[in-house]
Amino acid sequence: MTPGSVAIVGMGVTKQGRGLGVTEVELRRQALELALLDAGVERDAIDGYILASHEREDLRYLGLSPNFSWPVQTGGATAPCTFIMAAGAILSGQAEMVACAYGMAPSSGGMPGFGARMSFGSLGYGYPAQVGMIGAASAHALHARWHMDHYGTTSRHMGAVAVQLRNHALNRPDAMTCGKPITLEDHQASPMVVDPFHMLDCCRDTDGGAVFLLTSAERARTMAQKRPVFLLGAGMGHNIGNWHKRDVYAHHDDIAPAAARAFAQAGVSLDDIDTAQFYDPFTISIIMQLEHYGFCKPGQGGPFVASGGIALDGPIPSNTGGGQISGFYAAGFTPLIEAMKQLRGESGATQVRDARLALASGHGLNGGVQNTWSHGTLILGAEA
Amino acid sequence: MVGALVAGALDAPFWDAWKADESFLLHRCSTCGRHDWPASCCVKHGAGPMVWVPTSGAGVIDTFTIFFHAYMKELASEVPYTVAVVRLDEGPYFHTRIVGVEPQAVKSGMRVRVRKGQGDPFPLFAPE
Repeated sequence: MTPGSVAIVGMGVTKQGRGLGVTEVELRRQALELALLDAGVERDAIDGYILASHEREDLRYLGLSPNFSWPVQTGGATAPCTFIMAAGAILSGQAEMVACAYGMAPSSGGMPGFGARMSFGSLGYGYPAQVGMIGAASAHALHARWHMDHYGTTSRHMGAVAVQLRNHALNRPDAMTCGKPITLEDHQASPMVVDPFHMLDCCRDTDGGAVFLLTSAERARTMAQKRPVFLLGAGMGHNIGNWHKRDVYAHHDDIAPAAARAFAQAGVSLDDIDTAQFYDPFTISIIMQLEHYGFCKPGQGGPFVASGGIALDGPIPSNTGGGQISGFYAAGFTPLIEAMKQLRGESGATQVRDARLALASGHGLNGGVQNTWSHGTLILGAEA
Repeated sequence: MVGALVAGALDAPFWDAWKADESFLLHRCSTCGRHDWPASCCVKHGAGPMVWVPTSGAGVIDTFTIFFHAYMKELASEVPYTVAVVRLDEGPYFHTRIVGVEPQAVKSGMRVRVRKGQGDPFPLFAPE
């Protein structure tokens, strides 16, 4: 991929929150309207549709007439994957304007018309579930415990992540925890969920929709959108390779191949990145990604965050919207939304000054005994 | 164990042996000797040479987590309980519950062995 040959020209983000009681397809419709308005295009401009997860009714209900509709499901890495697929469609001449759509309502489960109560985390864990390993928190707790035992990371280090994310969210009206500060002591006193995670180490499911419109950079320059964002580099990796090598728990994901490809495509280095937006369902996720991307040394993620490493004035301001833990959980779209806001200068109280290059990550679709996830890296830029 | 055991069809020899006499089998590549669990293709030699063989049923705790809430009613009496990933002596990882030791006393690196004689439908591990 030639860096900057594809642009994101529209972003629509609905209200994100607990128990909104809005159906998933309706969340996607609302996000689509916002994205069309943002891009300044009409419905009939959309000639490709890529949906996070799968659903047969979308095109009819959303009033779209594209040439294809592709489902994609690789858990929390789906978001960057939709951009990679959209770029593939655009650059191979299959589409001119692709909508990448997300809409989920897990926290409305159990409401009338919403089917059974459900959660992202409790599905598909196979044999481990039969001995009582239930939920995504426990799958990540295995990594957290390994990190603590191997490097001396502490619960207070993870608490430092929680407090930093909350500080980012405090003055962000788009965050679930806006105006609700916490202290390290609050983190330590919050109930244990699964060792070593306290409640304040974990995100909660929220409902919401998001749609992005991608087109060629060439076309973006002819459009009304004054702040296109450019896809400069992308890469994916899967930690199943480390399962085969029997080295799963040292790795949150297999970030190395994803990062290497994305940075090589973009032709930039880690030092060039102005802000990072990591997939962060649990505090350990930020610590391990900081290490594996190379923002700090292996094992130093906890002390790095505790000393202000991801603060606005730190070396790599990260998860500036509060992330999934203190912002909202729109799966892999949470980091993408915040990366876009930063590059468009829309991050309000936590705007990184002159943010020109952002890294966004996705992580997801664990299952069975392997406890390994897919990882996606995107490098987005305010210029091509 | 949570509810009835749901055994994957490909792993039937493992479950049959466990049920018959509590033998603990692994799937072994007879070309290179690599062991796997559950049923796998050898990453170098494919499915052809894979055979189920009896093994030690012992290893060390690689990592673990402790549950403080019963997310399923069958486990209410077990809380708090420890789920660990055991690195078996033959190489593969094995997710199980650690029994016979208080959760607070469980440590990474602890040697454990599959518990026998209790009629466990799913193999559980205890300190050696």
